Amino acid sequence: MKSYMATDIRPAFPVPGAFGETVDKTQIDEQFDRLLTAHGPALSRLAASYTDTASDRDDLMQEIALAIWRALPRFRGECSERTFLFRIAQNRSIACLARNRGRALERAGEIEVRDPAPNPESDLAASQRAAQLRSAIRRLPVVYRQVITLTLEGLGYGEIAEVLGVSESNVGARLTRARQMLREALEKGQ
Amino acid sequence: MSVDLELESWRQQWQSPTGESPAAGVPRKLDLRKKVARQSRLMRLALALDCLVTVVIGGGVTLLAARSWGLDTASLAFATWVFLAAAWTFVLGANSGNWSPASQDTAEFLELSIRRAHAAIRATIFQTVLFWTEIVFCLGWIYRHNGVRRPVLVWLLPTSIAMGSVWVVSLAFSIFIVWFRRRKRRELECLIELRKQAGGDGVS
Repeated sequence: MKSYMATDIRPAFPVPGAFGETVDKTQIDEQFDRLLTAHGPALSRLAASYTDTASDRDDLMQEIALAIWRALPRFRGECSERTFLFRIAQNRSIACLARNRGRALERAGEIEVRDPAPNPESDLAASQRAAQLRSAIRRLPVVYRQVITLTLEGLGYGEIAEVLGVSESNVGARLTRARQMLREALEKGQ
Repeated sequence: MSVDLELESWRQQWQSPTGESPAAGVPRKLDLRKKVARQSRLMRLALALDCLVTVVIGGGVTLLAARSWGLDTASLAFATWVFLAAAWTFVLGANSGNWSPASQDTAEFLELSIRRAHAAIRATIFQTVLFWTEIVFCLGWIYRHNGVRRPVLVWLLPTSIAMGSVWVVSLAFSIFIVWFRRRKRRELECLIELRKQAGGDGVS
């Protein structure tokens, strides 16, 4: 009999070629590689802000990449590539957060911190500050985490508004609140 | 520290290669592309499998009914198609308006996820009803078709491998449905909470 879980397997974005449409695969491959090379680290940082361990982050990153791969053939340049990528990444992260909520709460505090580069004390201090910042960002409520991570990746108000589907003034207000909360969290952590 | 300097300092820390190794989270491009292509193939395969199951089971019973014409086989073929039609009708109805977001932003994605979670929870009720209706019909059909002489309740006991399998599959299905429903409810609660946060931050 028919698959019973059909309601749960639908993609958020259309599947390229699933219904027989012609897709230039080489072009998509090249575009996919180029986008991952240019924005991979940023997407990974964003994924890290929604996950607690490196393996979860890698899984989320893979999910984001899959969504990008499937959405690419339908991308017609209605927005910038960066907006397009971050929008997908945010959406996948939200879905991941909803799925793993319980697990994530249980594991809060198991945040992995990689050993800093050998030697220099300044490196160690910088590394600790960065780890503190990431940890504080991870603990922010999602709506504030979204705006602060996108801001730290260099997106402007307009782009963030496009990614999140809210007004620019809303982005501004959320960012002000997010910065305030982050500042307080960092002060408490010191 | 001035406000802009503060943001710039955070940005440097956030994007720094030290600390939590953000760049390490980018798997090798080729590996990632291979994995993505494999997952993509699997999803298409799952879709094709749904159609194949419909054609094979529906076609199989129709062929059986055509070859050995009789009330028994005709009723089996008819009921099978009714079950298939019911399953497809429900899936298409439940998915109506949920295939893709109206706009591509996160707010709409959140709404879509909530609609999908609601649909998935509703689907578990339908799946349970459909499953047990099929089981009852199939067992009744086999009992009548094979001319079993034992009383129904005795025949239903898991004393044979075939009947044991029916009970094991039914039990596994029931456990899976309960687990899936709970998971979807948790997911829905989380999504609604996220929507509340997004709408109730005093700045919307």
